[in-house]
Amino acid sequence: MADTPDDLWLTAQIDAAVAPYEGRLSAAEIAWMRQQLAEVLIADSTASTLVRRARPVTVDESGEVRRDPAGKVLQTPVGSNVVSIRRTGKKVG
Amino acid sequence: MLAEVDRVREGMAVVDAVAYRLARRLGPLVELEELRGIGRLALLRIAQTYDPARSTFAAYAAYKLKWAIFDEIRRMTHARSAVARLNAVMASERHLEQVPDPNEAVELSAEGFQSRLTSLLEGQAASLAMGLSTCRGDAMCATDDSGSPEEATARAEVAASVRGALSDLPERERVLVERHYYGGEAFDVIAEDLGISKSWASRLHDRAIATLGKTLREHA
Repeated sequence: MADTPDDLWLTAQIDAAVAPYEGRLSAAEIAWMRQQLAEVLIADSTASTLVRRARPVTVDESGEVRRDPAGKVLQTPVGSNVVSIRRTGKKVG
Repeated sequence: MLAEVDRVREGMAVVDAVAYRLARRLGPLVELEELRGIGRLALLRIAQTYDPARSTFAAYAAYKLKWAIFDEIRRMTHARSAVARLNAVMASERHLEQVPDPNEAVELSAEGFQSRLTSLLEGQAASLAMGLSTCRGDAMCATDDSGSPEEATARAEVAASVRGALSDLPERERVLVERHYYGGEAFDVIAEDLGISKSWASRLHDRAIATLGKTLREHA
């Protein structure tokens, strides 16, 4: 079974899903639910496709824009989508 | 006969894949080798009932194997917490089968996919929570996990709340959930008794889980 993912965005999705059950199920059951949800998001093809498509566009902190091989900008313009900045300093893409 | 032998040969890889996936979901409830063994036995029957006009053998076998393994594991499982967790995983898998294929939604925006992901996770959480609140044959089926007396009381209250909400469900939804999760009966058998197709029964199941999930979330 999957551990809670080391991925802040994915963890936030799981947190939001289990939040309504906090206090209604035991801590052990809530922890087990988190593992199950992580497993589904990683291993189920439908769920993992949704994760891939729903994940916010990520750029590095330099603001470098991702382009396809033809030079077309891949990043959705700011304001039409959620853009998260990963502060790793690593080049994305 | 030769076709069946070929299907069994092809199906062995499917057995391994399904068993591996279920082992990851069920964790310590059952060993991978046990799942494989159940799957191999079921494969013989599945190869005989396959209709090439309806789907590929691999797709058919993956679906049938999953539920054959679940049915057999549930038949062998008696501990309360194990039954509850098995029910939860089964409800989760049943819900996943109803989620629309995102690859068919090419025009959907990122926000649209986010909305679908949120909906999937809500349905999954409701399925798991409902399953954890059920147990065969017990009206008050708190699981036997260790926990504080307060947690045990809360669990018992939630289980009672779900049972109460069950009685308010439309007749066929109530019968499906009660017989499947509380009675331990196979889903296909219940659908047949109700005179509905398996796909329609799955849709009713989804509606029932959504209602029960709402009850669980609002339970104070």
